[in-house]
Amino acid sequence: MLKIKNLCKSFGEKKAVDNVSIEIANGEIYGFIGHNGAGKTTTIKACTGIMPFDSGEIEIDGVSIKDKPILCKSKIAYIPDNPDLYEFMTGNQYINFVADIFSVPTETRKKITKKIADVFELSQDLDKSISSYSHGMKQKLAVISAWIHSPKLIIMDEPFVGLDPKASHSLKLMMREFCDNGGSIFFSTHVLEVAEKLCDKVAIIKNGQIVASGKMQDVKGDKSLEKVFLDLEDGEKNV
Amino acid sequence: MFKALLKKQLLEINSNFFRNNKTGTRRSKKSGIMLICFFAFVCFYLGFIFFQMANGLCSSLFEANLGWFYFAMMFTLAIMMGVVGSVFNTYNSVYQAKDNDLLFSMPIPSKFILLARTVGVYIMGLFYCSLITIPTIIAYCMYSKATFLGVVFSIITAIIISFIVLILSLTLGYLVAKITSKMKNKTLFVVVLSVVFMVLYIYFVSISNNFISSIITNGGEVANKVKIFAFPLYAIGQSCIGNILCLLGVLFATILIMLLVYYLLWKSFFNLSINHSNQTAISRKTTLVQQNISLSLIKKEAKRLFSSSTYLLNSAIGALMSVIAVIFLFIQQQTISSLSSMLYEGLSSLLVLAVMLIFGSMNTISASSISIEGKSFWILKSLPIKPIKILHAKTNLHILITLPFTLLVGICSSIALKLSVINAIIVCIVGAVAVVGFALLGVLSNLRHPNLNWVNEIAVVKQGLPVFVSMFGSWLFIGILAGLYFAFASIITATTYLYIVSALIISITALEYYLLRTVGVKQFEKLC
Repeated sequence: MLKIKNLCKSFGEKKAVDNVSIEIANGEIYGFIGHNGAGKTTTIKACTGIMPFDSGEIEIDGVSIKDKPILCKSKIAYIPDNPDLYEFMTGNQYINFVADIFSVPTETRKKITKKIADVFELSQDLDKSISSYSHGMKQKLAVISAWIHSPKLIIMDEPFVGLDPKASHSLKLMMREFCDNGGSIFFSTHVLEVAEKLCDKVAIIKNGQIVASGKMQDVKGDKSLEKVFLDLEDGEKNV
Repeated sequence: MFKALLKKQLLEINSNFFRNNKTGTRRSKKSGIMLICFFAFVCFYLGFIFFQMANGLCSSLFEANLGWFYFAMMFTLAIMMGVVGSVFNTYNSVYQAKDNDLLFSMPIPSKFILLARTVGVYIMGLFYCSLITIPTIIAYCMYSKATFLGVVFSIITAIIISFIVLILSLTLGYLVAKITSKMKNKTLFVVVLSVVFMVLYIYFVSISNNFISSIITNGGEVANKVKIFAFPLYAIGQSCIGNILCLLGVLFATILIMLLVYYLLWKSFFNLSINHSNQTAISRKTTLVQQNISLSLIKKEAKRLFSSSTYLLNSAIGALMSVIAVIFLFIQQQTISSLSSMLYEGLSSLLVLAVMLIFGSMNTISASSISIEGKSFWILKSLPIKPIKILHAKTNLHILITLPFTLLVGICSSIALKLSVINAIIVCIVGAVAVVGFALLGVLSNLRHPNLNWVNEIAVVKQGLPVFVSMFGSWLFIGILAGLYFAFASIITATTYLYIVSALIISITALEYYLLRTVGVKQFEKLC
């Protein structure tokens, strides 16, 4: 579903992403972990077509995002690390806007919105202005608008930040259900316990380079993901 | 601590000169100097207009021994200019700044935060009123027997005037914040209030010519009335010509009122600012219904424009000015009709076109339409829409808001100047094409100089370089067209010139559209 091949992106002299390659198949939840400034968000933004990259290739469902960005974007949904949504709209207006862009029929958008808003207990607030929403409410709205057009791939940057425990739990269930139905998810997180329990595959990025990747069991072995991650971090310090 | 706050405030105001908002890096010296030169040119131009006005009053009033009245009149105009210029952003920059929450969470006394914001308001007010006070003092030095004491006292009074502007701006900003804190539809209130202010200002400016004439012919009588009914103005005038008692009186009164206003604002600053950052949730019932993509995009643009009084007032001012122009045409129809009999049909057509171009270029909606996306720009970038569709939506909203008003001005002017139907149609079509051109120029200049990292939207809708380029660039273009006509008037007829200008406008608009589809789309794709 998502194929990143030798991705490179620099900001001036600094190499933010250096030769990153990742492959995500249908039905997989792929975790992306790394310290702050490691290159997670840059990689994610490149995958969503928001940020141009220097070299390498990104394919979504076999289509190059460089060659056909619109087609690729129509297959994905993106939730950024900080949900800066249109504060001048109400929740429903925002959902309508996103659904219009993806040409989601009226009945489908109503059905999906009701289902997820009920799960997140957001139904009562959808007619309120987004400017009055808390961070968590904005995150929930971003999730609804990501699911509204039934994408094939969902890319999320720190999706659990700001969510209450109940909403976090609901989102994890939704993610699993989405992938069980053939979708794929690529998400970054700092919550290693969540990644360990939820992900089928994981990649650890450090200073722009992938230092470990593969099936969760292969990456962590007998240790916890946290231990593996910390060992990799310490490795650099020892060197 | 205060120094750091002040530095941040000044950086916010001056960021356009020293920082490239697109790359976040420091501007090159050359680019910074060019910008400053351009800015200085505009200031000089505006200052020159007021110098001419001061020049008209100065010698006659000083000859009549009414020097104080000269200063009282000009400095009152400076106060009006300063207040109208800065009052629109006082409310936003003091009470609605996006970093209010962040600053309140830090161990900074609220009086320091307010003081730093006040400095920002003061600088804006000082800038606007200096456009009049400086030419006034220069005219005084040049056209009257200025004394050393008079010059020094008038400079001191000019400085005091800038603080009077600050007092009025802060008070009005406070009143707006206080009233709107209990209102549901804040945008509407701020828009109505600002429009009332602007109309009053335009009214005073429009009657100023008659007023100046009456002052010159009947100065003594008017001065006596001012002395009786507006004593503070008399005191201001007297302090400029060397009356130390009046100077001290004005100074102490200003300091006292300033301290009082500052105390009042400081006491309520935290509550009013927090009230504005935690806006009451307004419920608006929306049904989930499918719509056409283009319609949805343009509705989104419209919602953004009408949700912010700052954006609306600063970017769609041309619409209001057009309405005022139409009212003016209606009131002065007899004078204009008599003027039309003195003009050739071709020249009248050119005049109507010039009026349409001036009013059509006053709206700058598209010039901040990219930057206004700010941190939510990622939404447009992540959606499966061709960039050109997004750029079309931004251009189209500008056209939808501007075109009806520009056409109204065009049609009314054509009727007033008795243009033939054919010429009126040609002029209106060319004027409409020019509106499209102005909208495209706005989007193109905003794509060239975007600022997606603003803290206060004033930075993009009022102080942004694209707005400046779009409005003054258009006016420069109109000025060049007018200059060329007068240069070649002896060898070319007005009708022929009208056709040449029409062809030029259509060609430039077509070129702009081509640039939008090619360079513009590429620049949009690079933005992130």
